[in-house]
Amino acid sequence: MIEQKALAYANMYGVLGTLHKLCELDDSAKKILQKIKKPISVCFDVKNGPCRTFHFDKKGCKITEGAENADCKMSFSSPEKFNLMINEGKPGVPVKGIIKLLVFLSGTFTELTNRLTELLRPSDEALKDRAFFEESTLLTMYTVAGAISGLANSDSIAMISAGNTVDGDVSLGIKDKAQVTIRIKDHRFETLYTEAQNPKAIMEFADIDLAYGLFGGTVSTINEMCKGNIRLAGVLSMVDNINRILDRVSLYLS
Amino acid sequence: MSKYPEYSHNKSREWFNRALDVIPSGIYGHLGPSEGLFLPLEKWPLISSKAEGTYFWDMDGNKYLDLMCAYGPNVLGYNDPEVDAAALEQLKSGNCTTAPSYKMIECAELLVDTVDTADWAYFMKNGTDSTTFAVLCARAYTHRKKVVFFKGYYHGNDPWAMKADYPGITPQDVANNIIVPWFDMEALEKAWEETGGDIAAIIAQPYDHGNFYDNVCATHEKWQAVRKFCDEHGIILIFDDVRTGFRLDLAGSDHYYGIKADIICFCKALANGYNMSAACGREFLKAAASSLSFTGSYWMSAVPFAACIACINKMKRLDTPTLFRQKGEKLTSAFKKAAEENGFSLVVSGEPALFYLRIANDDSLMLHQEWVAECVSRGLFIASHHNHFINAALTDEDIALAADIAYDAFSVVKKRHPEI
Repeated sequence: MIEQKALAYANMYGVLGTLHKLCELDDSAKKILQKIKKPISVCFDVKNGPCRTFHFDKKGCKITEGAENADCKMSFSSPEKFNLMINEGKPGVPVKGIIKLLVFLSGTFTELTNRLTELLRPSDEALKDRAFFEESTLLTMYTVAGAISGLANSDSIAMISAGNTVDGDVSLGIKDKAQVTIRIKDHRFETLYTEAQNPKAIMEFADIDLAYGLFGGTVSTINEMCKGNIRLAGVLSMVDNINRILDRVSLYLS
Repeated sequence: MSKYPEYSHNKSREWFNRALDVIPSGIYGHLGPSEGLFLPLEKWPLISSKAEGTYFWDMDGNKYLDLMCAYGPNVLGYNDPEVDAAALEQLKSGNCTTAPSYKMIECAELLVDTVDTADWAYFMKNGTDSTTFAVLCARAYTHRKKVVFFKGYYHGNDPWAMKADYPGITPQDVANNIIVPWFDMEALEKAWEETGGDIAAIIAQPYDHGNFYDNVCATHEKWQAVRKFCDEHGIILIFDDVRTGFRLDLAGSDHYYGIKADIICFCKALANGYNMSAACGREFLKAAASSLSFTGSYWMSAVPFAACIACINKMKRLDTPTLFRQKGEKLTSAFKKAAEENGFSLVVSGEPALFYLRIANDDSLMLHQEWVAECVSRGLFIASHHNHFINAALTDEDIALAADIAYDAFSVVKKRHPEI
């Protein structure tokens, strides 16, 4: 059962939360960013849900919590309304910097999110290009990592797993490719897009092809773990709980 | 150079690969790697070919001094001659029969004579059957819904005993569960108030022998307070003695901690590996137990009853709880000494008969996992994050060997980590 509020968090922290990595890694996105004449900060404020600000300039995208320093702001009266924007492109209510916001959203922002969709929901044909395949898989990992924290803090079932997770950093990644950190403090989760310096637990996939199979559900996590293709170490109860939340991520973002 | 060369597991691995083809996760549950505890996987034997006393052998012929004891059932030693003789003798007379064998009655009588709180015994196959029975019985007697658990609980794999975030479990399955910290009397009082007195039972293990943290023993005083609370409110006190049963006290772990539970659940050490479990209870619950619709195809098989009788009689003769405490203390002292001599801080917790180990040099447990892997791959089978088990076949020579392998494994890890 999907909860609309939790879906809003998965969308905000998972899907939109990947925009900064898209802008960092993807050549097409970098070209799109060149169209930005002046830096712009857009806040999406969801009533009874998440509120984050996305700061764009020619160099990339940064994300901050809350509405501080936002030039433009779009409000959503409910999580459902925000989810409609993500899934069907229906905008919320512009409340600040209205003209600038509408121009940006209908132009550069849409181009970026369209590119993100191409990468997160790739066609079979596109995946034949190895570079595209790798980029798509990496961005999927970042989306999943963001959604883990989004759901751990909002979904009623994932919050049970979070409630049983001790404090510390969990390193999640693909060997020799990319690592993220899931930081847990007082049962609240935060995704950091940097390698953990002192992880309390580690879950690392052997290669990017395995990661692709796991994210797409074409290979079994348990089987691969039993084959030794997923490296686990440390406080495994943390990994165990994250795996349970991953199951929720696949429900919400499939 | 390591004194004990590392084993290779090629044949075991081949068998495990065959298992993966036809069995979900190859070996599901706690005996296999699917719970992520065999780190790294190549250090572990996975599949066995035979067992004897306190040892088992893998498919490559490697011999393991086994301190996990099949996670509990091996209490007298694998293939104990007395228990096996009783079982084989019974097999010749009949096992799974339409009219149950008289052995069931003899077995129940022996439990009633042995276990302090037992006025009757009810038989099943697994620990989960036993705890599920106990909860059904408590609800049938009290006509109440809620069950109180102590934090970090494990009472088997039936839906009521799991958590809402486990695969296949719904929030409704666990809607009647209340979780409180161990021995928190204020939390118990609060739960009583908030449920309007709708609490059928408190179910708990004798002490907190959870995984991933140091185990915490109980005290007479703490259990007496819980017993008093249950008596005042008409709540059934269920002791889950599945793991600890007959290892702390042959009269039950409730007896060990100075109280009488209303129902006590046994499994692992009952019959030295023959498949059976039991719940024993007090007279006032007998009618409720009789009222339950709760049975299974093999629950009255005679061979395990014969094995159980032989096993309990031998445990009495050997006074296994005293033996296990002594052996556990000797073994863990030797482990601690081996750790200290290599610069490691090894924390030993829980009851000596079911000791739990943790290297405290780092808080990620990764050093501990490294050491455990080096022990296992040199023939000392221990577990990273689970309590261990002593069996009666463990000799002083075995303890010396275990300590020597442990020392060797510590030295291997130390070389890898010069910072220690």
